[in-house]
Amino acid sequence: MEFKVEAHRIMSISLGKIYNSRVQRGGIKLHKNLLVSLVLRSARQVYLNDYYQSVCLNAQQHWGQHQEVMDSDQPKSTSEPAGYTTPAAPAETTVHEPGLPAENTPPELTIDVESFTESHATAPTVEEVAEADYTESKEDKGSGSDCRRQQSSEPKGDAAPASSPAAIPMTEHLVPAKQIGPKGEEEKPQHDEGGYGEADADRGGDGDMVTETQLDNQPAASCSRKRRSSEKTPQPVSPVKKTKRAPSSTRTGEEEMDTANVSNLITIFGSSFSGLLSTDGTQTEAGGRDSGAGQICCDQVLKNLNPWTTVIVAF
Amino acid sequence: ADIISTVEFNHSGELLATGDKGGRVVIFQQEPENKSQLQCRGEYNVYSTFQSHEPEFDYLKSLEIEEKINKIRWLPQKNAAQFLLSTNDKTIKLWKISERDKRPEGYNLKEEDGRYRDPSTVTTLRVPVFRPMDLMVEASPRRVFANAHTYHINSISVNSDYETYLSADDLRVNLWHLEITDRSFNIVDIKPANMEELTEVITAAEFHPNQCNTFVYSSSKGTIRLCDMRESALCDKHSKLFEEPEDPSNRSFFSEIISSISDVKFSHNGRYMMTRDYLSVKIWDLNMESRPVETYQVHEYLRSKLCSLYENDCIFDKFECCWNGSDSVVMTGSYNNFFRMFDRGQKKDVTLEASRESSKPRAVLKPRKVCAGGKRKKDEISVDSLDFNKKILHTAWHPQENIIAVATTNNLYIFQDKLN
Repeated sequence: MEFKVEAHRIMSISLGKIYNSRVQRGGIKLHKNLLVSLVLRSARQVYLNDYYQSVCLNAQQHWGQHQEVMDSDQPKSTSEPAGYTTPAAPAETTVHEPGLPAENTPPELTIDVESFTESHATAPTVEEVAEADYTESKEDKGSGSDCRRQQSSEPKGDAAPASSPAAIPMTEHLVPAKQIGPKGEEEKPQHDEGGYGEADADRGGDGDMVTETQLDNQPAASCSRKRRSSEKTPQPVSPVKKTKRAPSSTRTGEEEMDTANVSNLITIFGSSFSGLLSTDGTQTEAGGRDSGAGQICCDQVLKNLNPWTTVIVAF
Repeated sequence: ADIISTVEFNHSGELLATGDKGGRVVIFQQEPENKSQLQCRGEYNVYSTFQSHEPEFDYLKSLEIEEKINKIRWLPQKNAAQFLLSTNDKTIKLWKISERDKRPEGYNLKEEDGRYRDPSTVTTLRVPVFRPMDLMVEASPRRVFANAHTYHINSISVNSDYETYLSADDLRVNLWHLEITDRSFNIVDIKPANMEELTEVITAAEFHPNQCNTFVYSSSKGTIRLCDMRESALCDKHSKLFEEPEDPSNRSFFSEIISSISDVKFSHNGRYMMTRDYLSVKIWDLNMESRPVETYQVHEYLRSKLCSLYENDCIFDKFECCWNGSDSVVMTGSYNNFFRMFDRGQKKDVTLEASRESSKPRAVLKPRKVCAGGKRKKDEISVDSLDFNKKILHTAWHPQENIIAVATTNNLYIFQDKLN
C-alpha cells in the first residue's frame, strides 16, 4: 500500500515539474522532460498496480459474503458449478495471462467460450449478467477475445471453490483497476448495462479477464464504489481507448490526496491517463516493446493535453 | 548571473577560461613562475573578461534563448592570438583574444586623439613609431555560427585536424568548418519521425583526440556510440555501441534518470573514454563495448535518497569529469562542495572540499569522508547534513601540471599539488 502513496506522490511531483518547465526561462528542456515523463510512466504503472491489488484484496474479503447471496438468489446456478468448474480451471489459468501485461491472448480462452455458452443458456441470473457483459462486449470494438473473456467470466463466479484460487493469482497480477468496475455492473446487470456498456466497450481485453476474477470475489462494496466513481466521471467514448475506466479509479484515490494544485492537474490529465492506460493495454497485448508503450503513452498524454500539443508543435 | 557554467584550460595550461550564466567569459592567466618562490607555480590572475553571449528572443517560437555559456573549447595556438569557441543554447562563437602592448604614435595627418589635422598645417613628415602602452587584452568575435540547432546545444568539440569542430544538441550533431559560418553538415540525427516516439536524447559528444574521423556521443539511456565519419556522411549507424547491462537489483523509479550520461571525455592518449552518470564514473576501453573496464562510485550513499533528489531537481544535475595529463587520475564533482579524485593506478580515491571555511589558502586540503549510515565517526559528515545546493559540476585539470580548477556555484578554486 505504501507503494501506492509513494507512486502517487512521485506522479504529482512529476506533473508539477512538467507544468513548471513550460514557464522556465530558456525554453522547454527536452532531456529533462523526457526523464520526467519516464518517471511519471513508471510511477503510474506502480500506482495503478498497487491500487488495484488492494481493491482485489478487498474483493477477496467480500467474495465470501457474495457467494452466499449468489447461492440463495440463483438456485439454478448451483447446478452449474459442476459444469463450470471445468471451464473454471482453464479460466483460472487464463486469469494469470492477462494479469501479466506482456502476455498475448491466451489460447485457453477459446475453450472457455465454448464451454460457457452452454452454461449461459441454462443459468438465468448468470444469464442476465452474461447478457450484460455480452452486449457490452459486443459493443466492444476490440478484439474478439474480449467477448470470449466476457462470457467466460460469468460462470467463474459461480464456481465457488475454483474461484478463490483464481482470485488469489488475481491479486498478484497487474490488472488495471478500472476493470474491476464492471463487476458492479454484473451485480445489477439490467439497468446498469447501458451506463457501463460504454465503459466496457472502452475497456477491452484486460478488463474482461478482470471481470472474470471479479465475479469470483464479488466485492459488493468495492464494486458499487467503483460503479459510483465511474458514474461520476463522464468519459468520452473512444473505441480505441479500451481502458477508459482508469481515471475513475485513480481519481477516487487522488481525491483523497491533499495536493490541491496537482489534483487540478490530474483532472486535466485524467482523460489522458486513461489514454495512457489503454495504450499500455493495447501495447502489451500486442506484445509491444516497453519503449513503444511508453512512447504511445506520451503520445496519448500529449495528444490530449493542450499545453503539451503546444510543446510538441514547438519541438 | 555569476554562476559558473563551464571551466576549461587551454592546450598549454597557461590560460583558464570560465563561462557563466550571464553570458560572460573570464580568462585567467598563469603568472610566470617566480624563481624566488619555489614552493608554488604561478598564480592565476584575471587576464580578460568579455560578454560572449547576450540573451535573445526567438520570435517564431516565442522562446527566450538563455545567454548562459554551456561550453568553452580552446583552439590550439597558431599565432600570437588565442582562439576559443564558446556556445550558449543556440549559437557558437569563435573569439579571438589578443594582446596589445604597443600603439603607433606620430601620425602625420591625425592628432593623437584622432582628430584630423588640417593638411595645410603639415609642414614636416615623420614616420609613426610604436610606443609601449599598458597591456590591453582584446576579445573580438571572429565567427558566429548560428541557426543550426533546433534544440539546446550541450557540447562542442574541436577536431584534431584543427579545421573542423562538432556541436551537439539533444537530437543532432553538426559538423562545422571553423572558417565557414553559413553552413554545417548534420552528421548524426536521432530525431524520430514522430516526436512522440522519442525515447533518448544526446547528452554529450566529443571528437577523438588523435583520430580526426572518430567521435563519440552519449545518450540519456546510458549508452555511448562511437562513429566513424569515413563510413558514411550521416553517422546514424554507429561503429561501436558501448553499453553496460543494467543491474536488476538496483531497479527503481529513477533508474533511467541516474543512468543518463552527463559527460563523456576521451583520455589524452585516445585509448580510453570516461563517462559520468549520476552516481558513478566509468572508464571504457575503446576496444571493449560490453562493459566498462573501471567503475568508480562517486557518491553511492545517494542511491537511497533518489526520491528526495528527484523532488529538489538535484537528480538532473549534470556533473562533468576530467582526466589528468597522464590519464592516471580522474576527477569529478559532487555535493556539499566536495569533489572526488580516483587514482586509477594506485586504486585510491579521495574526497576533497572546495570552500573558504574549510581550508585556508596554501593549506593542504584535508580529505573528507561521508558517513552513509550507522555511527558517524569524528570528522565525518552524515549524508543528511550535506548541502545539495553546493554542487561542483565543473572541474578542469591542467594538461601538464597537477593544477586543478574547481568551480563551485559562484567561485572558482584553483588547487595545485604540493611541491617539495
